[in-house]
Amino acid sequence: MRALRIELRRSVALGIGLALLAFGAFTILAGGYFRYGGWAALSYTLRDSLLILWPLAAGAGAWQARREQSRGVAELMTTSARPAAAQLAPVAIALAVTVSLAYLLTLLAGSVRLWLSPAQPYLTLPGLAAAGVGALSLITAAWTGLAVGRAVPSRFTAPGLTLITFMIGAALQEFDLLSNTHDPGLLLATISAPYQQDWVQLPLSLSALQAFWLTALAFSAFCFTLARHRRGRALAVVPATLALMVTFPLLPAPTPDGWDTAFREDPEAMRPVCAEGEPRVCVMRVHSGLLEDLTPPIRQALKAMETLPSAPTAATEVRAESGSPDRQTLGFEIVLGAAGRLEEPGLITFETLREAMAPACEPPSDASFEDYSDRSLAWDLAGTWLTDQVDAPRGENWPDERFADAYAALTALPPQQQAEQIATYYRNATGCTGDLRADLLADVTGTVS
Amino acid sequence: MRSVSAAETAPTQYAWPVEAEDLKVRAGRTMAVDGLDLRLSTGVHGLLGPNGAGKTTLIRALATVLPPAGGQLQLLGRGTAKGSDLREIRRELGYLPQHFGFYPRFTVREFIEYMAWLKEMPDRQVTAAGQRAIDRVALSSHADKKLKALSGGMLRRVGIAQAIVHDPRLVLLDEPTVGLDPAQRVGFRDLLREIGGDTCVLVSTHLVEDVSAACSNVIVMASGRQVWQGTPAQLSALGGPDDPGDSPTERGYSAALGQAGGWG
Repeated sequence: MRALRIELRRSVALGIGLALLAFGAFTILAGGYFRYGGWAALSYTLRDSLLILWPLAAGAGAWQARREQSRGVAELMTTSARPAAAQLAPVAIALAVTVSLAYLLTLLAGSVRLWLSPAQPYLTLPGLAAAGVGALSLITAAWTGLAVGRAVPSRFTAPGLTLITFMIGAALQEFDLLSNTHDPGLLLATISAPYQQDWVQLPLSLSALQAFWLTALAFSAFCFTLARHRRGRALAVVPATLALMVTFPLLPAPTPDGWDTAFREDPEAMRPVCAEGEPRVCVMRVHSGLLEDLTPPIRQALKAMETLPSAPTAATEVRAESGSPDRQTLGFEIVLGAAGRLEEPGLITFETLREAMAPACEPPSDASFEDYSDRSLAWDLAGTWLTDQVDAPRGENWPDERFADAYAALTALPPQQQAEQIATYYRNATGCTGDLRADLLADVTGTVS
Repeated sequence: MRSVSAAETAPTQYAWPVEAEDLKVRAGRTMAVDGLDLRLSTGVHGLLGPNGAGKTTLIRALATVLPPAGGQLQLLGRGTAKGSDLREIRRELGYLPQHFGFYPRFTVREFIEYMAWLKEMPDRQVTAAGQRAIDRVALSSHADKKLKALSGGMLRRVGIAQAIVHDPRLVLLDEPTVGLDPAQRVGFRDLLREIGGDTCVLVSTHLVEDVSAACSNVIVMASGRQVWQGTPAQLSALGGPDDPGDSPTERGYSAALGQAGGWG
């Protein structure tokens, strides 16, 4: 313990731990998918940041190894009674403790932030295992750096190794260098996911596979650092080589567009949790902490749609890429903002209704630009009419210069006629029938041409 | 009160802490120690010789850094071929290399304690032993300074402290007085005499006056062999008025080398 305490103070372990902690904190605070999710997104965002953290830890290990070589301490170490493995242990453990703690503390800080938010963390064993693999990956990085630094004790080794491991990591993520049937990026435990939402998870089997490989690599690196001769170094790489031969064929394959398919949907995270009372409003289990805040504006949306034909009588959370489960159920998407809170809570009703009024079908293949433009205008008119929130933002093409005049013309019609036109639009928009332009814009055509 | 180490109370199982017979040791491609016979008992032994005589190679072999290339070597009653014997020898061995390496960010105290830990000293004894070693080399007022802030002479004293922190039975010091000022050298000689009371100490040096002042036995090496061995008084008596040197011991040293065929 004494040697470990000294190494924790005097080696690069503390410095690299603080550097990783700072970078990790920057990652989760300043950007990344964590902004849009909960604990799982936090965990996977940090795994994504291993692309940077891994090379930094490896470089620190190499820098540490140079200390023993460059200061001529090797001769003193040789004549000491402690076996070489015991001599190496304090510095190796100090590095392992600080890099893994930095990773886990970053995770903990993000978790505390989530706990203080309405979207309470949804912890699962696979999620915890994924976090553990991230920490293990950093230990492996530091020990690999120790081994490389011991083998090549040059001042250029640490920066060189940092650069090379970053390039390898990026290449493994971006290109199928080794294989087009298995994702080699998973070997460093980095993740490149098209979406990092709370209802997906890395399966336990994958985490176990990665932990097996990373442990073997760390063991090989430790032995390589100890080895004094070529034969010892050759033997040291055997465990990692064998583990690679076992692990690689079992890694999941990337999709043709390059994204890995390691993620699986988590049925428990997606299980609906509903608010008390009617009409029924449900969210995914993982967002249950937001149900209380969501229920009033969603029920307001349902009430606004009451007069529409075949109006939905319940609402449930849906994913961005999927629509409402059926005509009787209003689907809505939860968009989380900073600290896991609802993004723009004052616009929930409006956004939900606007999405509900979206045309279910694409226009005909021979549709002109004007057709697209008019369909979009009709959609905006219908969505706005239900809440009368004229000034609500509507995306990147807003403001549509024609909207104000068209909306004024629509609301100038007798109330009964307004309601009939909106109902007709809704029926045809959701049923893929009729001409959406004619449904809503016929009586305001003079103002929108 | 000074604590008593295990080394001081344990019975010795050997007649000679260092016993070499026809010892050969390579330094690179050169047989730097070539057929050396040597027996050292408890006490302070000075190792003299010109550059290239094989002093550092011999010290490194006795420190178990270099393996013998031939002959017999017994240290503290054990051979140096088996790993288990080497570990026992190293536990009782204190060594200051000619080129002393250190961790610049460590404080003096941390470094000494770290080296005590490397020597497998029981953890509960390390703090007191470290302080005692620091006191013995008169570095108490610098104990919490970082090594990178120390002068060359102070670093040499740190090197001596790490070599004696665990009260070893065999102490090997290669050029320990390099960088020490005259007052520090006098203090160091006193320390050597104190350690040599119950320990076998071998000091390699260029400075003949250190040997005459602190050693009970002198070994002169040339061309990888021992060419003369005796007390400092015998060495002084060896020299004549025509031998080069400013003191009787230096003239004796020159005479010993002359008898062996020159300066190597």
